[in-house]
Amino acid sequence: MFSLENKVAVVTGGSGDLGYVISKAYLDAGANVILVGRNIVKLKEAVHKLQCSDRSMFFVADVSDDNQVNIMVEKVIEKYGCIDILVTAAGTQYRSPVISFDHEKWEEVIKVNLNGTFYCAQAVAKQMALQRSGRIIMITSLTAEIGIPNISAYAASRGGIKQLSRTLAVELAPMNITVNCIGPGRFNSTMTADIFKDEIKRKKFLDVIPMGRAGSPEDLAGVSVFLASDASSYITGQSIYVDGGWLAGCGNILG
Amino acid sequence: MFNLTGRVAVITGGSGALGFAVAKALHSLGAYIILLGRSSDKLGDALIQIDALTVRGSFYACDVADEVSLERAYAEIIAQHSKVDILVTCAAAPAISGKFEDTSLQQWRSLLSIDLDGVFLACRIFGRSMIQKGYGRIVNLTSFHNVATYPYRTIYNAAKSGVEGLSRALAVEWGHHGITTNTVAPGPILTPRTQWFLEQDVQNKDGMLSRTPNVRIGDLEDVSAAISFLVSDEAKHINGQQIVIDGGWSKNAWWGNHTDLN
Repeated sequence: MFSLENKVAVVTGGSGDLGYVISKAYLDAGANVILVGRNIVKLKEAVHKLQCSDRSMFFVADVSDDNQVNIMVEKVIEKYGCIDILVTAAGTQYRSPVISFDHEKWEEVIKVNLNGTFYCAQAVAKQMALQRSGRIIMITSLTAEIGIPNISAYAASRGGIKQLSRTLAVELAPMNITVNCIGPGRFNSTMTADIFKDEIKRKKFLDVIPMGRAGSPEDLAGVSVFLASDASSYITGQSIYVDGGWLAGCGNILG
Repeated sequence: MFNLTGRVAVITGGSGALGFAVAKALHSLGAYIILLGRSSDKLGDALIQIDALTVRGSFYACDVADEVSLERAYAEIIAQHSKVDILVTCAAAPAISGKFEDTSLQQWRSLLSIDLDGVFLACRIFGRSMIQKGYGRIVNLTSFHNVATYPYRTIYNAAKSGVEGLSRALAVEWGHHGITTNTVAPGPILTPRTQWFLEQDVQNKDGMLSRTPNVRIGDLEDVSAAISFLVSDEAKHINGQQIVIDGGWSKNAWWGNHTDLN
């Protein structure tokens, strides 16, 4: 039901916190995994750490450059003959009050998060349409649903990704391609490290989560395998949030 | 991953088509399954078909709308297994369809007593063990009517929206006990309710397919697979979510025919 035996999976942001855990989960489920990222040193380290050299490899590409994305997809198809699964986990964050939000930073966040997701989905969907099967999993965020100050570009990109996934879901469904999103809630990761350093911020950050803890990248392993497996073949256009119940209460807590 | 060995799962509506599919899936992943339903004969037959009559399976005949009956089943289950890890509420009243202006209070009450009271009672009663053990997985069945409703299904929609609201509130209230509460919302899935709908008019099937982006009517296994995921340890941080299983129907606003996009 949940096996990914012999599947070919491309994971962008493969050496990042989330992409790495997803890559590992796919290897454990039997897939071949191609980790995509910008930094060759980090990618090498990630593939080495995965300890599965016969089924994992990396490819250096900047997802915000459509030309690099197209070459990456071509090379993967050349080597494996198909792409069964795409996870777009490459992402960046920039915090600033909206009033002084730097336009170049805005464009950078949108380029990596939103354009990057679109370029990868487009290039891979072309191949999946020929195969008449495929799974595209995009990473959105709770910030696609609710407001958090000082991250306007990030939130806009995640909201854009969520809506992109719905459109693609409806458009690609007849080709037997499903498109869904995974939305992490409050996670303990590199992107939120600054919050966890401050005890008061940390407590406030965690208090609103009904399960009583921050998520960890490992919490995405199960859902990413589920959405890539036969178990979810009739699920498309959905966003599944992994947030310990935060969204259900929007921060309302016991007490 | 997704192994349920050692888990005790209670499934209401266990002899219905959907409950049966869920029981079979959870049993195949290693869970001990306990089917609840009104007819001992049907429940026994269901267990035999899953090969679980003697291996990791039992049943209790009870009425989910009746508190005394459900409490009795709970007491017996706890006496035997000392815990309930997983609850999946599949029990559903027979479908009712009709113009709202002609709907009687009696129809309203009879459907809500099973589809809403039944879920309320099952969550409250079986949740006691989950609170005590600090671990639980609740999945309540709703419907894509919550997201994309039909006319002439007012009572059903009200009931399922009630279940959705109850589930989200429980997610927030019981999360700190280690209990997750989520819902699964089947769309055009070949459930008995869909079967009934298809039988009302031969054109209903074409109508359904023309609205479904991936151009097929889903199987019960599409639903039981999602539930298998949600009750697993791997879904431990997923809480208060609704997974709609509808081939893209509720996100589809296109006027054309999806087979033309092929």
